Amino acid sequence: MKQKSINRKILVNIILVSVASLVLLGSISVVSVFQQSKMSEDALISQTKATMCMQVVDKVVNIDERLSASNKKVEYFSNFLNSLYKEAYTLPRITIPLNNLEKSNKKRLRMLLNEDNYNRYPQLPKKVKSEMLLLGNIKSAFTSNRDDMEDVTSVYLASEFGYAYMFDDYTDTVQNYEVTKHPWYIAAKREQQTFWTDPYLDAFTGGISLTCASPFYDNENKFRGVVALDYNASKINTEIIGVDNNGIGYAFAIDRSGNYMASKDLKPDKNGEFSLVSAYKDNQSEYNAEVDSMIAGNTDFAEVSIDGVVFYMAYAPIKSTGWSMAIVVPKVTVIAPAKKASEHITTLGLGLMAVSFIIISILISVLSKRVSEKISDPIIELQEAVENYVSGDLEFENKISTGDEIESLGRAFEKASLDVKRYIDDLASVTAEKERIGAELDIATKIQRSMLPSIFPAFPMRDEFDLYATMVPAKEVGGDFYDLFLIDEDHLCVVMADVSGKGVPAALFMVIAKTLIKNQAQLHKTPKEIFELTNEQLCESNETGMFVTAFLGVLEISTSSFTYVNAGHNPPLIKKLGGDFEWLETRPGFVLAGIEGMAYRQDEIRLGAGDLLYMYTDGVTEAVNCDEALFTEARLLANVNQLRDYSLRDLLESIKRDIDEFAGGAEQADDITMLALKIN
Amino acid sequence: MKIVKKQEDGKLILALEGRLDTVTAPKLEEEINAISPHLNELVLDLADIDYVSSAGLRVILAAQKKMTTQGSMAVANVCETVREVFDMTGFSTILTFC
Repeated sequence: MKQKSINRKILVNIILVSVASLVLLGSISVVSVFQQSKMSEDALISQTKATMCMQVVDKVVNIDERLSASNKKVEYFSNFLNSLYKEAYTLPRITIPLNNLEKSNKKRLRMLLNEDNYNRYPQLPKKVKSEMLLLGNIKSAFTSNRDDMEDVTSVYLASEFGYAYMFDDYTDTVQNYEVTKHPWYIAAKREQQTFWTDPYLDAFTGGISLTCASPFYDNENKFRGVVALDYNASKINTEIIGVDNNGIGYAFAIDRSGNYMASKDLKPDKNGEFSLVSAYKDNQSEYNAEVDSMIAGNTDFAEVSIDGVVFYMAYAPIKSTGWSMAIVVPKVTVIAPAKKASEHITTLGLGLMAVSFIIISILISVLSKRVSEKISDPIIELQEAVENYVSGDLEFENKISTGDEIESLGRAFEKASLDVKRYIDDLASVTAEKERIGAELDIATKIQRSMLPSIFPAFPMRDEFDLYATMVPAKEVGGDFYDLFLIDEDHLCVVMADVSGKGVPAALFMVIAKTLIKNQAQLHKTPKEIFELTNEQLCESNETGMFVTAFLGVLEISTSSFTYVNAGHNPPLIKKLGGDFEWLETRPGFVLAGIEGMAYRQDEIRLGAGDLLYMYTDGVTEAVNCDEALFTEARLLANVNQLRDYSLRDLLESIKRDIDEFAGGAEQADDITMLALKIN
Repeated sequence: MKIVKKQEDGKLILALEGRLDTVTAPKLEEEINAISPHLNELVLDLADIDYVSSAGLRVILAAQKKMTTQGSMAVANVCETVREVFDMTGFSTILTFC
């Protein structure tokens, strides 16, 4: 189950990270697409705003220029008339013919009279007649300059005296004409300056007309009348309406009252006549506020809502007439391209994203499964191998070659398993070796013991003396030894010795020492010579610093003379017949193998029948109990004295028992070696 | 066993305390082996030693041999029981007591 979970963990993590990245990237894309479309929308709007403002201003300036040409013309006429008064005496008198009701195909200058004048014509007051003749000089001014007055349908002057000179191709229906009662006349007189009327329906042209009127004064600056022209606004109207922004919007112009001056809504009725239409719309306060702003002469760009539809509106005043022109474009058509593009992008992008999401998801699923397997398979393999290893198959071989940490792990484990295997093998061989050594040590102990005379009676044929000896080895093979042998028929040699140290070296050293001593003894040397020679020989090859304490005695059987030498050994106990045990008087020399050239001193005592010698090693006196107390020489002496009448064998065994009793089970570090010699 | 080392102008004093036997002798042997070849005088203070086994004797002998080649060695404050061991083993004849 565990190996599955590693696989799944990797799988889940990869998929999670990938999906998260996808979602993040997708979100960023969607946001940026929307941002982009918003930006392009904004760009379109500001571009439209600029275009619309430019268009309206351009148009307005153009119209204004053309209207102000008429303005200037009228003012020129006004000044011209003023100059006529000033230069009245030098000027000819020109008669302008009276109007008739005949139709005319071309423009002509004619005179119209008001009812009063008409009724008394040609008997007119002198001042009236005089002015008529003076102002007849306007003829040249009116009839020239026709080319630059394309849209001017009529130029005329109206005198305060109640007559008018008109230059046009109109055909009048009445003879008399109340020149001073027309609104343009009254307004110009009142305003005392050039004045454009609001558009009106021209009775003659049938189209929208404007009148530009300017008062004129005489040489005394007295108001004498108004000079005016009729302007056919149809062209301007058409031009303004024509500004439709490539068909996505419309344009219009309004006059000072908020009536359409030009608009697509301004259409002739069935009689071919126009009626004035207000630009204000019912219940459209937002739009109406902009109309107000237009009337106020502002230039602006606005976003207004008309019947719930949002429009952009750019407007500017036509200064010379006090009108205002506006271009209106529905917002939806402005941002339509951006909307369309963004919708396109959004649809396409989201579609693409959905498709790529699905594809990438599938790819990720497949790839991540492979990746996770690639990662987890070696782990699982390794785990199985390790499990096999743990369950006892110590043959671990790394088969993983992923070239990464897992391979390193495998190799490390392989090395570890090899090491463990080698260690186990080593351990086995070491154990075997140890067992072998143990067995060999056992043999060594046996050999060592077998080197000591252990068959008693040792010399069954000799009844002059009794001998008995024991050695209880300590746990390790030790260095104690004793020896007893006949040098010849008359000489018995006894040796008690202790090699310093333990183990095989001590045992080997013991064998050497024992052999050397026996050799020297058998060469009939004196005890002193035996030790001195043995010491020399032992010193020759003693690099380990071992030494031997030894006691040696030679009994001359025939004389019972006992010659002995001591090389640092415990002195034996001696019991004279009927007496107590006591320490044999020795003059101990230095231990054997210690220092070269040592001299030893020998002593001689004469033994009698029943005398007993007890020799031992320090394993006896230095036996320890559980409190680490020593057995001591004193205790030995006391004990042996109690056992004085025992046979030699019983004596030694009893002492051993006493020691065991004293030790109370404490393990002894030293061999316990004893030898007893009794003279019969 | 405890070993207290004391250096006194070219003289090394090793004060031993406890038992000098098979178990503790190697410790003293290490100290002896570590002695500088320039040491002139070694004193083994045995005041607090109450037992010396043959293994202990071996180390004392080794120390004596080593110091013979480069100076001198003495044993100090030897108690009665240890003195008996030295006497019995003949060590008294080769050791310098002070």
